[in-house]
Amino acid sequence: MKTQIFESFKVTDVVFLAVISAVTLCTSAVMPLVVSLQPVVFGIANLVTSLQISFFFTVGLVKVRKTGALFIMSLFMGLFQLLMAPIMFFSTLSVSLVVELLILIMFRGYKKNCAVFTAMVLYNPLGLVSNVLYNLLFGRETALAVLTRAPVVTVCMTVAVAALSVTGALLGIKISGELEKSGVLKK
Amino acid sequence: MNVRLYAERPLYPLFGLLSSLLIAITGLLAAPHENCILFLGSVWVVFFVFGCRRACLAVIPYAAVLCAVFSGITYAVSRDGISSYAAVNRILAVSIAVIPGLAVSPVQMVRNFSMLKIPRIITLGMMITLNFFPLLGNEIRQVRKAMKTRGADSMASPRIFYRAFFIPLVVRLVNISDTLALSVQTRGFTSGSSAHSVYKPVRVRFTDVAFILLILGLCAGTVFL
Amino acid sequence: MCRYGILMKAVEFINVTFSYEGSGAAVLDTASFCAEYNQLTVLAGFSGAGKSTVLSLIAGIIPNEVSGNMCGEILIAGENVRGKQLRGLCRKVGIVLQNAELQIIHPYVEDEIAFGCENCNFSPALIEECVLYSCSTMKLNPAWETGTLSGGQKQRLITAAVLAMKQKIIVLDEPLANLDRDGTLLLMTELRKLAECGYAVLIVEHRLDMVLPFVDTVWDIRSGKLFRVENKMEYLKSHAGCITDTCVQKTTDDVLFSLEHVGLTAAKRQILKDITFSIRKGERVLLLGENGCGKTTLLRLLARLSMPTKGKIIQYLDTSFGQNRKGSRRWFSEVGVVYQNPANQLFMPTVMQEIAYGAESEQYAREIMHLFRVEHLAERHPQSLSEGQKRRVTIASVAASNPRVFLLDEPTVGQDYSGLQEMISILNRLHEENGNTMITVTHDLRCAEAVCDHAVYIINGFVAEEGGKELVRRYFTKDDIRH
Repeated sequence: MKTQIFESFKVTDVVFLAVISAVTLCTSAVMPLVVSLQPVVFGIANLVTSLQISFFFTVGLVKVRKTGALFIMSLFMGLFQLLMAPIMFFSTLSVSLVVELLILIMFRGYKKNCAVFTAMVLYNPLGLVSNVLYNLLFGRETALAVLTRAPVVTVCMTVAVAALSVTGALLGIKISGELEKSGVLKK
Repeated sequence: MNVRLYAERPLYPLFGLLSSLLIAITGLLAAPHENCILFLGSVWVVFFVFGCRRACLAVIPYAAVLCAVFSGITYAVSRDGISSYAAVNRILAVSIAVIPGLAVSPVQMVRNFSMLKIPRIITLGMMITLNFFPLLGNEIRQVRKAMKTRGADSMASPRIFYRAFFIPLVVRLVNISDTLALSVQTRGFTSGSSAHSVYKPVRVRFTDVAFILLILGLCAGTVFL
Repeated sequence: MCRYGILMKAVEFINVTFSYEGSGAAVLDTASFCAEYNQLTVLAGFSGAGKSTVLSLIAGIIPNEVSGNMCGEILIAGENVRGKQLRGLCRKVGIVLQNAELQIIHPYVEDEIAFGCENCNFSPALIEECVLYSCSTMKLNPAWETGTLSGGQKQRLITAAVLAMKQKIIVLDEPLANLDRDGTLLLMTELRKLAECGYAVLIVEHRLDMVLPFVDTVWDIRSGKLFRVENKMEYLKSHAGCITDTCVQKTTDDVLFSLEHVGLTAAKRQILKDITFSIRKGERVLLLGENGCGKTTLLRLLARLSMPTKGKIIQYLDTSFGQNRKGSRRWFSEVGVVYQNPANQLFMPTVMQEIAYGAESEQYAREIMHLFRVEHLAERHPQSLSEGQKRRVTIASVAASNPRVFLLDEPTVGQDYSGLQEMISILNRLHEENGNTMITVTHDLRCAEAVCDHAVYIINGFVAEEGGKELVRRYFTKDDIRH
């Protein structure tokens, strides 16, 4: 029997993804406090949000293992960005689309936990890349200078973001698995 | 979202978002140029005249602080006055681009999306995210207090700490979403396309058209001049 | 809805047998039941008896959202509902689920009420009419922000949202769960009026003492069958009578907590204004008052989860804890706090590990499990338990650290009568054996006296009166106590 790649989303799926997005937003509320340090410390805003985004999005993907779930969560989470900084909103959506495409090609969906893990390990680091492209596009020389002025910091921050993403994804898979077995997190 | 900043006669939300995007892009691209500050000032006045008074006034202190911080950092790094000026313009562009978002209520925005035939299931999700954001903040506080009562709030024991925080929280999220999904469905909501009405439809007015034409004109003028 | 003097049936179950998918046990076994128009009907029974299943079958949640095996017939407004979609059924039956605050998705009252009408494709003019009608029926203002509503108002909002869809059959699942006496009276009065206007109103509720004065018909569910109750007063006595206090008084003369002019202001609102009273060692204190008077806040202050903004709370538990400090891990091993939502305090993989976490030894953990009668749940994941079981495991987990002070916030929510009797008996036995000091917040008349040596009645952030069991009796039964 051929596994369906694109499944339609039910109301319960979308509601759960919306609630997950809301709680991710809550726990990422610390980001505005550090955004003014972005020109000085590369990737600081991504660093303080990587763990929670990774964890909660993993839980969302484990519960709703459908192609497009990550895009929907990014769409909902990006709503505040849409109101505050529309360019960042489109940047977030682009990253999620890229990750969805990669997962579709590599794993044909989120049925396996390794697909979920890979998606979350890629999502935040690609956000860093997206920030660099955004700065390049709009000629923000000072922000770009931060990248090259202290390359050790840049590398360390990138590694830290990736490490936190891995940690969040692993935690999310562990806890989701435990709650699935106990019957709390029904598919 | 601060209810006090909502405009009494709000702009058509889609035009507001479009203007936000145009202003941010134009401002960022034109930041080093001497006319940029004139462009941003004009846009601010347009917003003020078209009803976003409270939001216009609200962004001033934040923009002032951020301009001071960023221009200071930029000057310290580059020792170049033009770069500092460009940094100020970028902050102003982003701050002014926020005004339509502050002045329009999320409900208006979602109603606009519904009128544009965006799937209702998506607009429902948007409403939930926007409205549950404060409620879930409270849930997180409740879980943190519950952790204290069990003596599980110490980072010295990370294995217990993460279990005590994430497990009750995820269970609570599942319960909330199950209840909410049932509630909306028993109130007639379906995921497929089905006939539905919009209680207070959001329509384009003459002032909205005038507004977006003005913004387009200012952006085009800045780009070409 | 009354033809030739005979009430028409809004809901009818004819020999319905139902079991959930994957479960062998039948929840309903050739059950027959009816709810009529112009009537307010209550469905009562012990936890796990199948009340929510009956509601889910009526509303179409089963089988559209939850699978199961069903035979027999269910008629809604005379029509068999087999094969009907949820969207079609919701035009006939409105269901008000538990936990109103989790169902509100709009920032304004009128938008929330309009939501169901929009889904039913009502015209904007009709929606406006429905919004105004629902608001006036449920005493709400359409312009209110939903984030500022009280618990009772949120419950009425969801009821109004369902009412606006113009169904003639309204089903409510435990609508009084978090309401105080005044909120309960208001909601029940409005539901009574709806029934008199021709609606069929069916409620599932544990708080029979509050509900029975308003209802026409009572159905009892047990052993998979439904029985119409003929003698309401007898039924009330057997299911809602006050639990007798058989506990020996352990109060000493030593003061454990002394509250002096304690106040708390949060978000520009004075929740507590001037609270002064003392708690003695070994006492069972009951905090009484309407919703919003500050009982839970006071409990949090005693637990050191918050600090007062005025006055002081002096503790005589142990000098090493100091005064006016936040609670430490050692503090919480001496002061056990049980939250209203028990699931927030459960995080270990099994019940055994949960209870053992706070216990001094595994042996003591087993004794606690035996005392609380949860041994059969030892290997279960705590979050997979029913609400009643979770509450019991939470109390056991907190009790396992053998606290000298026990703070309980609404420990009886959702408990049926037999579960409640058992819980109160265990708590009092623990109190007798350990001589702990218990401070409880509850709206539940059934057990209030059974956990009380000293009652403190709080109104608007002040201590209005102190007393013993007689104060509890007066609070729950007479109006003259309310100023």
